[in-house]
Amino acid sequence: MRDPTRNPSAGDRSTLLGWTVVPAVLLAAWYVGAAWIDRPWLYPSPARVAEQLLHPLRDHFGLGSLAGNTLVSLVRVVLGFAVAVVFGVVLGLLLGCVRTLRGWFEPCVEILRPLCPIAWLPFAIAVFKLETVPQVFGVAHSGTILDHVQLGMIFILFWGGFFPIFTCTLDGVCGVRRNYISLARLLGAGRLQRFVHVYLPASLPMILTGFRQGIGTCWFVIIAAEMLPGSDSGIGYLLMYAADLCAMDVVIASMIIIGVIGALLNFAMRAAMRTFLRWHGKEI
Amino acid sequence: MTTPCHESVPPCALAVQRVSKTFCSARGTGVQALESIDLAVGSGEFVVLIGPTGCGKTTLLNIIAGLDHSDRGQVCFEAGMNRENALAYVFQHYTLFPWRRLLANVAFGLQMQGKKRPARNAAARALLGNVGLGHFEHAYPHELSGGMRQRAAIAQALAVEPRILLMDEPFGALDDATRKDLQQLLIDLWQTTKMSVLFVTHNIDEAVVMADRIVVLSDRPGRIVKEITVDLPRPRDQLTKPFTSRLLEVRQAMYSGARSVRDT
Repeated sequence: MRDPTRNPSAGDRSTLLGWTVVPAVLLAAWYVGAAWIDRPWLYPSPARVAEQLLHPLRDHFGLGSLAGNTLVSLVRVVLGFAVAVVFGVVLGLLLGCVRTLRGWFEPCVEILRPLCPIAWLPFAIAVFKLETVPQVFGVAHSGTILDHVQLGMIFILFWGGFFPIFTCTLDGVCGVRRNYISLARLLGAGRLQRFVHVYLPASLPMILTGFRQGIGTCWFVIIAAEMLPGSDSGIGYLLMYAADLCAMDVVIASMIIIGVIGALLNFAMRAAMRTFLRWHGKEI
Repeated sequence: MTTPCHESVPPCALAVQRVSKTFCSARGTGVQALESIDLAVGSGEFVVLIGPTGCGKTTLLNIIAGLDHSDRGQVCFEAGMNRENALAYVFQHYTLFPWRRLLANVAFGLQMQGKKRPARNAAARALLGNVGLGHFEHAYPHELSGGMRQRAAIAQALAVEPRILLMDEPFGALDDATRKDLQQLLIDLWQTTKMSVLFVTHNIDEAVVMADRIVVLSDRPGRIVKEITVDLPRPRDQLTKPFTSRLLEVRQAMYSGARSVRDT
């Protein structure tokens, strides 16, 4: 039954098209193209890729499954992102509130910021070797997924996530309206209280924006890092390995998984922002 | 720079003594905003500060509140009082924290004093009732109209039980009907709390409706041109002869203030 009072707007209709017709057309083009070229080892048909995606637990080349390797990448990202959150938020708040500190560290930050996190890879391997997280705690082999989480990876992910979070937090704190600070002061808030009850909540939208950008960057960086020396697993590693063996169906299946996970991470962050910040975007 | 009042005038809640302020403009030249302002607000008195836009009214209020520094002169409070415990301030804009619901906004001052949640919420709820927002304690500021926000801002300021309420064109952005309602509300609250009010406006009608005493400032640099006592009974009928004659008196003072600057 259609609700007569609700007239689907142009926006609604285009979203519907975006989820149905456009992907269907692209898929059809791929199908026809693959059949026409007819070199399935280079250009596999959607059917062969779908067959891989429908069996996510199947082992490939003794490296583990699509699902397993995706999980390894995700655990790495979550740990690296968590470290980036801690440092990014704390340093962002600190430098945002203390002008002197900002003066001291801004030049170094400006030089490190444009540096691609992947450039840290040789340095990370030199410092952390291939040490994993359980090894730090004296466990040589824990038998869990953490055996695949190298400190070097976390280090690189930290650089990927840190700058978006740090920069957004800093901008957020510096952009708090003077009026809110004055108002809080006149209502008797001390320095610490102003920090907790004004600076922090007022910059929360920017901090969460930083999280959203940061986790996106981390996902970007881990795929690239896994393709380089020093890696033993992960969806990026599987993709590159499969490419070397000309298993293009596994390559494309991995690509689709990477894209979908990236979109889901972004989606989750946006949903979190909407839930936690009902007031955001409605400045008075 | 808060020292007790030295003047032996009748009990004053606030005294501004020879306060001057010069701003440095971008080109490096000084712009004098205030010139030797002497102003006393009696205990429980409603004083309206009126003057043309840019005459330094807000600057004076900010100096009193400690948000700005004066170059010369001092601000002092009645014995036992200081900036921290005597004042509350209602701005024209950004008067509420957008991330807090109304109840938490009104309770902010009490929370900063370390009052327990049940006590401060009860106090805030009562205040919201007093300003006619009893049903909106869970609303966010952006969900309210401008008039409702200013009501909430008044409640927020009253929560800390100030001796002196500073208001910077608090009703300047409101339509006529809402403004009238809020004027009446403020007068009622002022009469029950017995606090002093220093109220800035550029609206002559508003000044004569509200004030015990009107202080007219001149164009830049702000100087006190005239003080007019309005001893009309409240509520004030705007259509009576005494009211309109006060209106005329304020308008003349404002014109003369503007002219005296142009002559120099």
